[in-house]
Amino acid sequence: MMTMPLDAETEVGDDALLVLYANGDERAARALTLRLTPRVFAQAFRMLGDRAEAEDVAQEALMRLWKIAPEWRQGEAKVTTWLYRVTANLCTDRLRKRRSVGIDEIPEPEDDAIGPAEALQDKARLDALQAALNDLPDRQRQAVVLRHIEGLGNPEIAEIMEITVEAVESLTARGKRALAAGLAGRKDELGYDHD
Amino acid sequence: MTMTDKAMQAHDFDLDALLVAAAKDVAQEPSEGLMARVLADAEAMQPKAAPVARSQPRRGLFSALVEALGGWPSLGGLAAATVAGVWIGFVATPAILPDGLAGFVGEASTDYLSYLDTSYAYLEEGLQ
Repeated sequence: MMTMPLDAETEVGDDALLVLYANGDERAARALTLRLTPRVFAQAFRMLGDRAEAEDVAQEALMRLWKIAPEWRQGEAKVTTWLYRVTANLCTDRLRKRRSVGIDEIPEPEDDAIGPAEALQDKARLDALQAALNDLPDRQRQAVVLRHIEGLGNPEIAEIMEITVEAVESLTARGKRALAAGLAGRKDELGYDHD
Repeated sequence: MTMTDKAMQAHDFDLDALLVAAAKDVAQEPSEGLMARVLADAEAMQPKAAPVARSQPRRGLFSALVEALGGWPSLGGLAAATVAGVWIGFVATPAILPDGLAGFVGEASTDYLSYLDTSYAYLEEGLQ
């Protein structure tokens, strides 16, 4: 009987946890939820710019993982790579749907935080970044989010997006240029001149 | 160098710092409600573990011995063979042993004792 705390940051790999999950280990269900949900949600949130939609996507992506668990073959693919790809595809579908019904308006982030001016300014900057991300073409946004929000390496991003490493580099570079250009227009309102 | 390259270079520090801040932003942390829903899905969709074999009740030494001998059927045979052996020993000795078991418990028992202890025999002779 294993006694290691599966919900802690342990050496147990995601794929081993998934096999344990498929074998009915309840601790594995909890450990995978704690480990994977934040990553999937962050990716979806940055891709969609909307919490409620990102929650739906995260729940759906993980639902697909639970479904496939009994057939998962250990060592064939990384669980996170598979999951990032599923999440990316679900986000792309949502973005397409938004455009097709003409709802391209991203809900304004709730501004319920009352704090020091600096905190508000940080929040304004992050909101501006999100707005600039929302303006990027889907593939560029995906590459930037996976590289800079999820902190993945280019080879893994290439696998997730099913393109070459060079194509990833190109997408990330173009994405960052577009982000910089988008933010440059808001430089004054973001308070960079006062730094 | 293109215009966009220049624009990026001018704001590169800001952008990288902003991306780092975004990666740590609490806004992208999942809510407790989402975590609970995902865990509920995980548990609902989890294949059930194969039932663990019920532990055997503790067995005593006697039942362990019975099992080692092959269970009650063979123990019955063993008991029958034992009874038969005792019965043959008493009833059929004249046919099988020359003097029979009666010799051990009859008059001539002292002869057998004398074989065991020679000093006893001398004593007996002296007395006679």
